[in-house]
Amino acid sequence: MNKSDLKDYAVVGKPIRRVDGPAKVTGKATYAGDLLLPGTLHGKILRSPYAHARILNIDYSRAMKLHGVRAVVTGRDFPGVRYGFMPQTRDQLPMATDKVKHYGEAVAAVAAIDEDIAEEALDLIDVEYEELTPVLTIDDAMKEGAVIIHDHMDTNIAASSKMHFGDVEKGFKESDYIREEKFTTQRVSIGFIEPHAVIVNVDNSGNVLIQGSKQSPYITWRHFCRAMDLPLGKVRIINPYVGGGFSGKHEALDLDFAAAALSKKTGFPVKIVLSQDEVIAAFKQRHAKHVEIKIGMKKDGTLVACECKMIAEGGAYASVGPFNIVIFATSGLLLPYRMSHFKYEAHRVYTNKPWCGSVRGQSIPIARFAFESLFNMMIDDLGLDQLEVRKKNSILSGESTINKMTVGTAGMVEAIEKLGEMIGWDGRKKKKAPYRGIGIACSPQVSGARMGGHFGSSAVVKVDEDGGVCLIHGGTEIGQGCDTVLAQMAAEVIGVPVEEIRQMEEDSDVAVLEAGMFSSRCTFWAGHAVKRAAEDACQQLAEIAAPLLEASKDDIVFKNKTVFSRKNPGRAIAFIDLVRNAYYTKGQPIYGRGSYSASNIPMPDLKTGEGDVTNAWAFFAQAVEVEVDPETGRVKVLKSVCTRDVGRPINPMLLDAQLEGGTVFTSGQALYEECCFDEKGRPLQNSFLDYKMPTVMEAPENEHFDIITDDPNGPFGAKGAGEGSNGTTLAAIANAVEDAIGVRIKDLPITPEKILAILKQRR
Amino acid sequence: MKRPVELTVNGVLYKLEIEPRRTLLEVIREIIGLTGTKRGCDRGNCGSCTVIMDQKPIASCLVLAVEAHGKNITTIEGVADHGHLHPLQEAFLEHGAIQCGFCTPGMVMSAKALIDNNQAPLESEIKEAISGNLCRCGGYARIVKAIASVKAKS
Repeated sequence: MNKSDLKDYAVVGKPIRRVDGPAKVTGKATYAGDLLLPGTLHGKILRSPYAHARILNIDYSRAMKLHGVRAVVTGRDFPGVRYGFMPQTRDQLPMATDKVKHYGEAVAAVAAIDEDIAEEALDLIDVEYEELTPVLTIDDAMKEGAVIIHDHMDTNIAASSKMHFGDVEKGFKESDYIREEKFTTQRVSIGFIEPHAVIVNVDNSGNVLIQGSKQSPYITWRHFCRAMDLPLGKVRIINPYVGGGFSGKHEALDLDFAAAALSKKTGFPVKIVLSQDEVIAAFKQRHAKHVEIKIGMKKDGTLVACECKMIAEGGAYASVGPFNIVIFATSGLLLPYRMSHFKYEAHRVYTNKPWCGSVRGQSIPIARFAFESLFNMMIDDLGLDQLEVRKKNSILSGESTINKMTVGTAGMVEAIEKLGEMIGWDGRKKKKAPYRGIGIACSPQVSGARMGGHFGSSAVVKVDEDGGVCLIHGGTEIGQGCDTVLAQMAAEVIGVPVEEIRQMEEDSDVAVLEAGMFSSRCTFWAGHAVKRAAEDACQQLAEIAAPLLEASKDDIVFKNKTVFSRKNPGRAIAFIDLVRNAYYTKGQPIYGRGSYSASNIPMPDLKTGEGDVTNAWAFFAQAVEVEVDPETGRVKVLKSVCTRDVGRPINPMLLDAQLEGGTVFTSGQALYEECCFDEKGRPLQNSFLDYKMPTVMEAPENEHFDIITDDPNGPFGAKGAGEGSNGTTLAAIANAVEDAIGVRIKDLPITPEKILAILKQRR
Repeated sequence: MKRPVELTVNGVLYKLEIEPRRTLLEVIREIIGLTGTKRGCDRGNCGSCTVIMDQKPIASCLVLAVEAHGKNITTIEGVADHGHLHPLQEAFLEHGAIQCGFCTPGMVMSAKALIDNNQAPLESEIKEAISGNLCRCGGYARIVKAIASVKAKS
């Protein structure tokens, strides 16, 4: 950020320490697996050893005879109501009933007086299966006469998306240069270190209390109530700290349902903590994708047309797959560059593998990988400059995309310019060392897409009679720093220190509604709600302050725990005195409330892909430098430089940390992570020993720069930003590897084997 | 059959009766009740359960409690001194080296074992010391900086 961009904020925009830091650094922060209630029983889940099979019979009589076993439940213990993200793709049940559709799917669960007995009891449950042919690949799923996975469907296609804007054939005719390539990307594990965990208590009246590791408790709440056929008011979710979400902890999961059913049967709380083996083998992964992409451009590098066909292999259940394939185009291909013609066709197919949904960055990293890779190749083919062509095509503030998405502020051009400066782009050719390369990529980031339903955020600010401030919001602290950022916003409005703002765990009964932590939405959506709630509280106080200060209520300023009129700053009253006046003289408690709904955004048309999905777009440019070892084929990411327009970062330190982390996370997918299965659909990895993720040894150096655009639609000018670097990193690494070895690898991950094969061929 | 085990954890002597198959991690979390030490993988792959036993960082999920008989153990709860944060903990806060926080206790313990024994570690030594601690948030660079800043001060 340039010095001239500094504003006179007390705490917004400052790299303050995170408010949850002291609890986390001392081991006092509570996570779901740390919780116990009096009388807690321990649950374990029996999982399918087959990827595709009919369940003929389950006999748990032997398990029930084991000393210490209190209850067993199966899929038959649930109402049989399917749940899912969209009405047309509700395809999931709490536990399998007649058929298992992926390895590790839950078929029964046990509650016992301790974990060992529960584990032992699993061996005493006899399940008779009839093995079915597993559907494991896109070809298996889409071929003529394919085995159908879901009995209620005619095909294995869970959802499709078709878009056409402009006239793509005409666009290609008008282009001077056209190139078409196919890219493939692999399944990766989400890899959070805290495994799924929950403790559920069902009381005598049937009220359910869920305390779990939930990224978006609201989503869990709705899914859970639907599948259990319960009104929302019967279920309360209280959420402790979450040990990493990355989109893996939104939904209600088998352990939540199992613990609830077991608690209901036994009358005691039931706790289930999964092992990492279960999580890695049987839970959500990133879609594997086949992407065919064709780009047409003028010889000066002006982008004209893009056509893309994409198939996402998504496992046994649809999850957010139907959104994923739309977002791939709207947030992944149609920005950040201007284009006049665009055509897209995508399918999301079922297979007998663990289900896929969103993972850190949603589908944007894959879309940008395909687009920026091909774009990079074409720019090189034409002998043009990578940065100049990207700048030339970047969307500008106030423009709209071909599918009618409005871009408010856009600092893409400035971000690319700054990136060039920071990495010394112009002089780099002279200095280029063998087997070293620099790759560039750009990406948009949506500030929380509104894809359907209400997607709302809300907040309450309570001012205590002694001047204390309680902020209640729906943000879930999953590590992204929402408790800190939202407290900074409230503190800025009310004029009190961040440390004096207290917050509480999320609670579906006594706290407030928030659609969830996804789509980089929290700072923007919950931020608006918090700002409005704080302003509402201040408004109530300003009305009381105005006569005391002989000023207009519109001139009242809250700053440094004092209150004054901007027209006469010398005459001030202490914040606490004003609050006391409100409570004791006026008899008026101070409760501010605020919400944000982005209801100005018409619901995007998921069929055509037309229309706005968000009120602000952030923009990212990234350069990574890699070194390829010609002996081993290993790629090391040495350095990452990220320039960005996030409007205005509320806490630059937390944002830097999140974006650096996004690069580390995504570098694993670029270079080595891959979920592998055998010919029967059984996973080949079920531990972090087999499933390798980046360690400190793989983490690059980082540099950042903020282009401040102060988006008028954002709270304090902020836009959503947390997943921005996920959008750029895959492509930047792929481009850097090509720069280093002169050959393009189009199927991820870019493993040493692939690189060595190329280098060997060349020798 | 349970066996007597004496563990000194954060300076407090615990005289326990433990089944031989119980890991030190289970005993710390479930019997002693200190839940700051995290169970991530239970296989020694993630480092979340790192504690210091006789000056060495160990994965407490790979040590049986009976093997720890008579040993001195420090967990994350024993790092701050009566509410005063250890310089490492301050450094983690200052450098933004914490995100979801699940790996943090293990990271702090691995780092503490390093700087307790090596007051001026090289960056490569810092990296090696935490190379067994996974952070999926990806905050490694800041964690290294935080640890290095403590070394720089002392």
